[in-house]
Amino acid sequence: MTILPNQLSVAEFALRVIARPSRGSVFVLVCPGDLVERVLLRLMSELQIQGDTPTQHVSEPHNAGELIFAISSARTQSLLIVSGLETFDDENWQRLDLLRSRLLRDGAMMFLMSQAAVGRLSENAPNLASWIGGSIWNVDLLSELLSEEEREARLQTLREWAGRTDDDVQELAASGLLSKEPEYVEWLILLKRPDLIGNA
Amino acid sequence: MLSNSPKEIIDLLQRASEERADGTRAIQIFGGATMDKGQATDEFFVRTDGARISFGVSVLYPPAAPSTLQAYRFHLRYPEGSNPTYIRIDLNRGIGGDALMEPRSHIHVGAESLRFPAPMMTPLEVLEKCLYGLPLPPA
Repeated sequence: MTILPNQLSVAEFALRVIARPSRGSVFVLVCPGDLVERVLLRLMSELQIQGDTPTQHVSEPHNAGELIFAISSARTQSLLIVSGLETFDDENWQRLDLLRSRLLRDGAMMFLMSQAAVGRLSENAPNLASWIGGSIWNVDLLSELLSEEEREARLQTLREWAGRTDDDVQELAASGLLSKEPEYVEWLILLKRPDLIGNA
Repeated sequence: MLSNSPKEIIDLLQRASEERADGTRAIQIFGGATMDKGQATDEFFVRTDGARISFGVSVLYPPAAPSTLQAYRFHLRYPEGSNPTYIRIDLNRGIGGDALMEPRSHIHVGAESLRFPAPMMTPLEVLEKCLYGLPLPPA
């Protein structure tokens, strides 16, 4: 079975983790392998900002037994993030499926894993997959970035406020005569001309 | 403290990211609208007392050096009929300029042309000030 989760930003994922009653809650955030470290740092920050519960991290357990030991050793109330499951083979997932009751804890647990690992989980650990249910999302790292329409709307606001055009601002910046007010730095970034910030 | 839902707060936080030729990344963080001119929109963080907040923070991240805060603006608009109508705390870009008329770190109290010097604060300090340290002016 192929799982195609919906997209969710890290902040919204953290919000769902914090908002749900934690006992027995298991979440999965799917993320490309090369982005795991970046997403992990962001997720831990968001959980700290949005919740008052300590967060612990289990990284790259060698096998199912080591993972279960790490989970049972963690503080039971803490939020627990598990990453580095890409090396788990079919046998490890099958073993984890058999021992799934050992995953039950008071604090919520999150698996941060690649799409390939999710595929192995769903094929070899059907009971665990059922436990996770719909609590699985693809990380969306672009939703916080301005769209072109939003960028243009903000630029238009700045043009009306200053009574100047984009060309005016770039010329003033290039000649070192641009006002030092914060709105003009925003303007240059929105124009995709960060090179002019230093000259301005 | 805020009447916005957590989801609304997340949606109000946006950013733009651009890279210079030397690898320096310029990040602009937006919290709500670019300008607060009293427009009737939902693009603001709204305090439970009716005051509303918007902000922008500009930072440069060079590839092999500490990041540098370039500029910020934090705009707190009080409810209709308040006096002053708003307070804005700005950090201008770079040194230079007229330190008497426009100090780099300054506060506007209800007027664009009035700039009072302010201590240099981190963006989080200013945000906390806007959230907790600037109550409604007396009626």
